[in-house]
Amino acid sequence: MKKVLFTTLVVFALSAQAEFMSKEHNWNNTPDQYKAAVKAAKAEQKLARSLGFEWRDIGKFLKTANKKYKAGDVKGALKWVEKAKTQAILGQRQAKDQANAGPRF
Amino acid sequence: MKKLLTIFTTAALLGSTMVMAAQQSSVVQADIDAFQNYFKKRFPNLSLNDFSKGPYAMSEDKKLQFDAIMEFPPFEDLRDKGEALWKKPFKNGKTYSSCFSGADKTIRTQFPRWNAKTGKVETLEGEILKCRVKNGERKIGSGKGKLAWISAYLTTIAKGQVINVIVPEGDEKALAAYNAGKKEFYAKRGQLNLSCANCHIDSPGQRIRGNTLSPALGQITHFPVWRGKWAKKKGDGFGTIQRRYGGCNKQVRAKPRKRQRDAYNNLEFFHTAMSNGLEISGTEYRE
Ligand code: HEC
Repeated sequence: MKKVLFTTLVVFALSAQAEFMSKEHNWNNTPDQYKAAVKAAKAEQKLARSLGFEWRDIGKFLKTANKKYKAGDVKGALKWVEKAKTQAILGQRQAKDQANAGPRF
Repeated sequence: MKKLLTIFTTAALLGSTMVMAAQQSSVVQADIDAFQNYFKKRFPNLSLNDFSKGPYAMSEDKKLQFDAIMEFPPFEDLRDKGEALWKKPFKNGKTYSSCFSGADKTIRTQFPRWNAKTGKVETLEGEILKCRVKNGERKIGSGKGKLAWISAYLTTIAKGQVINVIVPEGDEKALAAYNAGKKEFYAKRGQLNLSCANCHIDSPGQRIRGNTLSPALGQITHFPVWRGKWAKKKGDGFGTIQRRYGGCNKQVRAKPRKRQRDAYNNLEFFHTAMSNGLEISGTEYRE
């Protein structure tokens, strides 16, 4: 009995916490989180550009993100920001891979 | 004494020509030879100048279509406008030609060229833009429109002039600019991870999304071109070589570089040098 009670309490505590987090402290989808993610993605984009290997659609992705954010869909917005950041990092990797590119004849 | 005098004047003459015409970097000349030999071997039936027909050199049928269009070129009016603009005095009374040297028909093949003083590559279109600013005229676009018409006129009258881009032997900065352009050409980029060379060296003649790929050799002999595709979009159909670079970057989902800045100017330097020895074929139509 003691054990059951304990388990129930734990479950209750956890679910209460989860509830609390998703309503007031959704650490994953807050405006602050979004702004920080955009900042990070833009820094990667800038680096890719300075190397001359920025991919075409990164800017578009960030614009789409901004639209979603303004429409209140922070979670959706973050997905696009992540996509932008991933491509920016891939562009930087490409710059490294291609550092010695040249003819094969 | 007479003999001594002859020797002396000969030496002086030789000396002066050496100052006049910088010698081609031997590294660059080796690149040009390897590049051109590759294409000559791959397309043994084409003469050097045939390569300037790009996709139309790759198939008889396409060449016939091209010839038919070039009988009444769709771009004549605009090229004539370019000629009028070239000759029209600025507000200060000067004309464009005051910014250039030599006969008008030689101007096209003076570019792209290395400017040792600024340590940069100069392009024809870039110099036309600078000329306007220098003479107090307002800025114009760098990829199409008036600039492309003027440069199309200069390309038309340069028909038959031979391309001869020089990377001066012993000039390390010039070689660095050339090498930057070379890397821009050979590096894979964009989400599709393709280089200029993947399409225009490895795959000329192959079809890609309804287009036949042109060989990189001879790609610059006829720019600016008038494209059916560009005429359908915004603008009037004309575009400079650097507008085309941007289009090809976008095709592989890479972000294009800014026109008339180092990256594309260096690319143009390398890309044009690879076609040294080919003749300018005049302004042409492309799909
Ligand atoms: C995915 C393949 C692809 C890549 C990569 C690519 N291009 Fe192209 N390019 C094309 C196609 C397709 C055309 C239109 C048909 C043609 O002329 O080859 C074209 C046309 C051109 C033309 C016009 C030729 C003419 O006669 O009108 C130039 C110049 C050119 N490309 C240069 C480049 C340069 C420089 C790069 C690298 C920055 C590049 N291309 C990368 C596919 C590619």
